[in-house]
Amino acid sequence: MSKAFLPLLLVVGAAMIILLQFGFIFLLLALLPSVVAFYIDRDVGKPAFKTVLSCNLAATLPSLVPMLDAGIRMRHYDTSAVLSNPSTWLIVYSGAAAGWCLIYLCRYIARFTVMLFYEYNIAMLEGQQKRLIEEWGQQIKHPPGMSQN
Amino acid sequence: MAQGTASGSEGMGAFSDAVADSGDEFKNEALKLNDFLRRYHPSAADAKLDLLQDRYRIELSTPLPEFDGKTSRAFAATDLAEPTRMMFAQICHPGSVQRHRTIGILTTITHQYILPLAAAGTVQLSRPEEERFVIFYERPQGKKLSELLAQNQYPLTQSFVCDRIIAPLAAAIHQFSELDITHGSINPDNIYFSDVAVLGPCVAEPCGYSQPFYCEPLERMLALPGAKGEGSPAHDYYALAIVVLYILHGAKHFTSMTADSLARSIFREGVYNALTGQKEMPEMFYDFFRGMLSQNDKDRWSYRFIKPWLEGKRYNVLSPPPPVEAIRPFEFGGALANTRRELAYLFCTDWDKMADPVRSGKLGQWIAVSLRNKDLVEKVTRISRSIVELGFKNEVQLNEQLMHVILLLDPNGPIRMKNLSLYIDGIDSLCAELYANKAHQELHLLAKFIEFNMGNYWLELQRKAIQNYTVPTTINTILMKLERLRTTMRYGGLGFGLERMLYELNPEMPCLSPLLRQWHILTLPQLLIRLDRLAPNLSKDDEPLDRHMAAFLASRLGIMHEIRLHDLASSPSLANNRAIIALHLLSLAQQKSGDMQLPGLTHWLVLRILPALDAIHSRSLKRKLKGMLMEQAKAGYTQLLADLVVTSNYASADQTSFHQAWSLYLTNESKIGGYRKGSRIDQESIRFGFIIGKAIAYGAFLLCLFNAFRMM
Repeated sequence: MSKAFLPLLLVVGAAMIILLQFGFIFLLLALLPSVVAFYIDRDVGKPAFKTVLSCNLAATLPSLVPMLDAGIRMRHYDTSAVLSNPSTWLIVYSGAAAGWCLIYLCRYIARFTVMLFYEYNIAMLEGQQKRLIEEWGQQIKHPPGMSQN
Repeated sequence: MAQGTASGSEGMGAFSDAVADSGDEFKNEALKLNDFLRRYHPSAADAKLDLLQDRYRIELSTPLPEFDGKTSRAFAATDLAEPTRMMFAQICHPGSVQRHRTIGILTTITHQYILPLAAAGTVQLSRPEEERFVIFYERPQGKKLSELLAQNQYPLTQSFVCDRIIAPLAAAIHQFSELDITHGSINPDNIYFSDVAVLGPCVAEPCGYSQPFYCEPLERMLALPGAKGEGSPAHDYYALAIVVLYILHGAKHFTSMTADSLARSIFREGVYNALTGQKEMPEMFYDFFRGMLSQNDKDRWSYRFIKPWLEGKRYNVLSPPPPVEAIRPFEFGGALANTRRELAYLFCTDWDKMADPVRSGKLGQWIAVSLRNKDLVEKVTRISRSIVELGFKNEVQLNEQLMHVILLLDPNGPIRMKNLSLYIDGIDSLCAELYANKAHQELHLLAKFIEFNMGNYWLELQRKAIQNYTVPTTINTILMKLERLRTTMRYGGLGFGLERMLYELNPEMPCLSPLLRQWHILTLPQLLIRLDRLAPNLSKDDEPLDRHMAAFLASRLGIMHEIRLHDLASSPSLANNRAIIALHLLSLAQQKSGDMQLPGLTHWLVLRILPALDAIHSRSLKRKLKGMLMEQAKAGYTQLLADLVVTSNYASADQTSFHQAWSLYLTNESKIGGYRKGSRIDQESIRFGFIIGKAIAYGAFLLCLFNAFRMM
């Protein structure tokens, strides 16, 4: 992570601690798969982390939003009920798992698309090469200095 | 104008070679061209065989060997306008040199003591079927003087010799002198006698070419037969004196002589003593011989002295003393030389060893001590120093320096260099003779002589030796030719080289190309028409241009610089292609020759050019050019073909486009390779997969966020 984001993360983290109080612990636990993805992902721009985080956050949002709402309205929210509910964790971690699935699934879809695109380009270029050979002969394959007249 | 008809079907001949040469790509076109050439029968002009000017006919069935020359054969001839007139024709050998200026003058005059020259020109012979240069003479009456003397038919009294031999011959020589020409062939075998002596033919070969050595003054005797130059009337008067000596003492007087022995005795005793041999002769001839057999041309009797002498005037000319110049003789090669001239002669007998005495300074010392000629010592010492500096490296420069030494020792003698011995105005005929004899070594030496302007030294010496020296017209003409030739001698490509030297020096020389051996071709139109007619036969094996034709064309077109086809420079195989160069030269020739159609030649050229078009990379351009060439060939104008092939800039455009195409091909190849690379596909799939995944994940997140906030 870029060092520029660290102060932002700290500010957001501080804001979240104030708003969520115990709910912040829930957030930390819920985003554990994303933290793992952050450290696993070695690719430039961390695309796997971003995908897992998005899915992880999407699954966390239904439980997190009431906490945030209560925090904003300065009301108490019983976080333990959420924390102790297994379905909450199932949804949250399923979201993260869906992120990982998406990554692998899309790779296959992309491979198919790329292959299709490449084959089309190759066919085009080979057509052009054929026309060049027809016009200039086999000598086009050799450097001009070595062309067989 | 050569026009052809394409009809008939005989003489198919195997054109397969030409077809095969053209490659498969041009097979159809080659077949079409060959088909045209097979059926092409140009309408030949009605050549009248064995006839000149519709008047003089050669009787090839009647050879007259007594009139044969070294470079000509003689046959009986008939004047159709005057059938009773007895004539003979000299048919000149191909590649031989005739004296065209003298022919031009002699055809216009009539002199009772000069054999009448009726006409001269190119004649189409019936047997062999060749064109040759032929000279028609009236047949002389009587016999050759030599035969007559051998038969002892006439009493050789003094008055007989004076009135019937010397007087007519002197008058004839005087006439030659008045016309500013020389005979050059006055000897007992070329003088005809019935009642009086008549001079025989002299124009079929270079001046003095067949002259016996003893009939020539020493300086001309030392020159090669073909390199004597035009000479002067003084040489004819000298020959006249020899003829008289021959009459008085008979042939035996000369039979024991060799050129070397005569030269050496002239050096030792002088001309008069060497030739008369102190033999008895009528007293009245002392004056004649002393006046005529002078060493120096200027002192020799001319008609101004002979006429009064014939009329009875006596001069009491003193006998010249033997020529001794040096205090002590110079020894070289086991012989002793008493004069500069004799030493020059000795040096030339052993050219390779001549450098030693010059290099060692022995020659300079001899000149200083025995000749006491300070000016000459200075010049020879300077040359000695140059020779020492040269060492043994540069043979051409060494020969040049040795030539200078010879000229300093004998300024009136011929220019001598190694095997060459020539007069400046004899260079043209010498070149032709060397060419005819295939003397390549001598030809190269002659080429160096011209290239390094060595003749200039001779001219300088003449200017220094003679006050107010005016260069004679014949020499001036040859000097101008040499000057022009010097610039062309640097090049060796088509149109230049030794062949160019031959045609430049001999403008009257027909084209000696082996393809045109049978014809006497002197002009560009003649060459073009002949090539057009030969196209059906020659197109299968031969190029329409060889070195001789190229040199002939370049000489007649006045091309001074090497032929470079600049528009084709980007494609060397096209620019150096012989058929394309041929097209270039022939198109210039046709342009200069005026309106003439040469379909045979154009088809022949296209047949030869088509394979060369393989050098063009672009097939569509090749097809287009091929089509246009085939179309233009029908017109019979080589200029149109040249506009297409030689002067348009298709070659550079083709080259540039080919480079661009090649670069595109390479780029495409690398792109295709890239697309086929497995690792690239994997990388691209992963990258693209992440993009899709991220897009879906972001979408899902935004959707959930939207729903969550809506529920708040």
